[in-house]
Amino acid sequence: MHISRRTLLASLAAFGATPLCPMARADGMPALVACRRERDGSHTACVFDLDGNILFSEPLERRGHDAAIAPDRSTAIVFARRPDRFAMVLDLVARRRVLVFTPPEDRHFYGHGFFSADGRILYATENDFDGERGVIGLYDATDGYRRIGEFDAGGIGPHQAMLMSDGRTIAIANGGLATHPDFPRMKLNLATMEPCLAYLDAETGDLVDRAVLPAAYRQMSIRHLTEAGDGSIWFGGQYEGPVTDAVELVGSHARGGEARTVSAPPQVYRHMNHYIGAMATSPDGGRVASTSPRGGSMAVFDVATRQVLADRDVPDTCGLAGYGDGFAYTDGRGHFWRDGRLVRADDGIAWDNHIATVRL
Amino acid sequence: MPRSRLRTVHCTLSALPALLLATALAAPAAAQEQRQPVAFKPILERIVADVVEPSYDRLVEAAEAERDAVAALCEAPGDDALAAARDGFADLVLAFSAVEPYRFGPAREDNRFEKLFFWPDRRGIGLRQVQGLLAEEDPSATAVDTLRDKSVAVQGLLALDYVLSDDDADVLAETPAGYRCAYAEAIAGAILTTATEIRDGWIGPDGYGALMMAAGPDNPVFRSHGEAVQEFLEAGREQLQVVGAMKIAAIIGETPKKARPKLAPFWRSGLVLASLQANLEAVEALQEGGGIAEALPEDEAFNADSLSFQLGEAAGVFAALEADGRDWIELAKDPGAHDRLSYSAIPVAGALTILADRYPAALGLTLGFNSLDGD
Repeated sequence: MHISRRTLLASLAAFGATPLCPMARADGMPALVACRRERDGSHTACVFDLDGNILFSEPLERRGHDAAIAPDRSTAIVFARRPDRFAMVLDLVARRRVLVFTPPEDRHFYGHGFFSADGRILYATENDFDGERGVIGLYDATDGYRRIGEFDAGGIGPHQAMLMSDGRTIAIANGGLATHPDFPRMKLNLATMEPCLAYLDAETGDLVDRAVLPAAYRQMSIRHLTEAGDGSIWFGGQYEGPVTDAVELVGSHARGGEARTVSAPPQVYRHMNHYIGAMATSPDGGRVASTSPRGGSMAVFDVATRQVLADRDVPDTCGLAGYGDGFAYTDGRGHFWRDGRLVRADDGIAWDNHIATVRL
Repeated sequence: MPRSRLRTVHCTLSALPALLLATALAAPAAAQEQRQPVAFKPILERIVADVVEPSYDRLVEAAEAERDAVAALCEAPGDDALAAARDGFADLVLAFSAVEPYRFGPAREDNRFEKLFFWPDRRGIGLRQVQGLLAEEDPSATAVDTLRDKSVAVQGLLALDYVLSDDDADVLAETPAGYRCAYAEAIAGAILTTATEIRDGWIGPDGYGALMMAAGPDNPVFRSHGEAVQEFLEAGREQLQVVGAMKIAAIIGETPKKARPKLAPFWRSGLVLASLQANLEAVEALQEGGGIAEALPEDEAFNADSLSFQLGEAAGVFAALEADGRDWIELAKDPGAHDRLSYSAIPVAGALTILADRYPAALGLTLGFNSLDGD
């Protein structure tokens, strides 16, 4: 989940405009939302405070994925993992679920979404699987999340999408992979996939920009993205080509320029095993991080110099959020980390792919 | 260069405590589950040398024989020559069905897998493109080199299935030097080239088999022989998913009325059930020929028998329906046959659970919760 720069600055102002030192000032207030698998194998959506203490959790019928947080921080929408079809509305003030809704019969969620700047509309990445095209579903947050329309996503397989800090532009990671719920999780078009970054006008749905990587990266599915402090989009890929290929999995794109990958010492990308599961920006906007569950790596990049600042070994890590003066991340072995430090360990549980930030 | 020094400093300062802590926390759990370490290297060697490479040799041989059979048909058309080409096609499909699980490695490069087998094709793209070539009589589709530059959907097994076995295909027995036959010969040649490329990609000192055998910390793909064996378990699991969910459940639907049998691969040539059995045999070959079964600890050894039982149960359904004699389209719409096909998905799912959960747990190869697949 990504907080817009505006929200971020507002939240910093609310806390006295100084970078916070989270974990040190837990106050029992909702800070992060993430899904996890419990010891009994069931799945839940959890809301926790800055220390990683669970404030409340709600059972999910199946695995959840990411959450969208309303700009006023009162509400979180937890999305099902594809190809499931539920979205759960959590009231972060009353600390309980208030509603579960579904997309139309011929759509399923991809697992990511976000709110409009005024909080009135929820946007969700969805699969029009019979039409083999990606869409952004629009839901009225002021009217029980009634579906009010959809935008064409500008490509197949929109996975993560976000509202940029201008409050007006939607950035979409179109992975390019066609899937159909009749063929659970099989990739149906590896030979013809066309991943791209697409930018839509959040009010009209017009495609305002589109970026693709050079031909050698045609089989790199662009799945996750984050906006850096300079307004550029940084993305993380999942490479579907030969496993022996050496590819740069992190890239960036500034509007009006070319999308380009970020060079790094070869071992950094080798450590990622062709697979990035999440991307996030540090609260100061100056760093971007990626997690790779398959490689067991968490890497940090400097936005301005494009240098690698850290490459950590964290088996099965994926959940990632900008946090405090760096990053918080979780793994499938019940660990909650912050910048190389283990904050909390819960034996027998598995944190799922994403962490959404309610406040920093 | 400052970059590498910077990185070293950060890794030393920040990653090391994390690693130590992680190790400390993981230690008690690991101790409880400790088993005799499995020697994966010999298993891997057997899978590659005794299962994968001979299966690809068989595919290449079948492709070569089929190319020759189609060439003979084009040169001297006749009912016998057409029957021989169709027989050769059946051998080729069964040989392919035995390597179908290996979608990784050399098959992943240059879209070779899709060049051999463009399926599923829910929107009928392949069919439209093949019909287009036949209608236009595009000469560039009658030479292997230029055909291979075309869409993956017009140069593989399903293209040849259509050209040899569609309702209009009997013309092949009657027309000397016709376009349809020239195109069929080029497809058979393209299949031979692609199959040979994959086979060659596996063998030799630079082959994928050698890459797997050289697993280790410096290997760009496999950090251990266990990881390489895991790749084969995953291949078997995925193939069972393809069989159960895609080739059976999605095609026969919940009721005979909802069946869409023409989505099944090779229904025109009458090879649906035979190719399904060959898929299941390929999974059994990984377990038995590859020796994965022998690696199971004593108290988990029953999983091997369970897997064989489940695979045999499903294969038995397909064999009995094949012996029934009716064609696939009719079977899928027949309530009794539909019931049996629906039933076959149960043992396939049982076999899948063994490969996906029990084997990895017993061999200490459990994939991480977040590592499963693309999200």
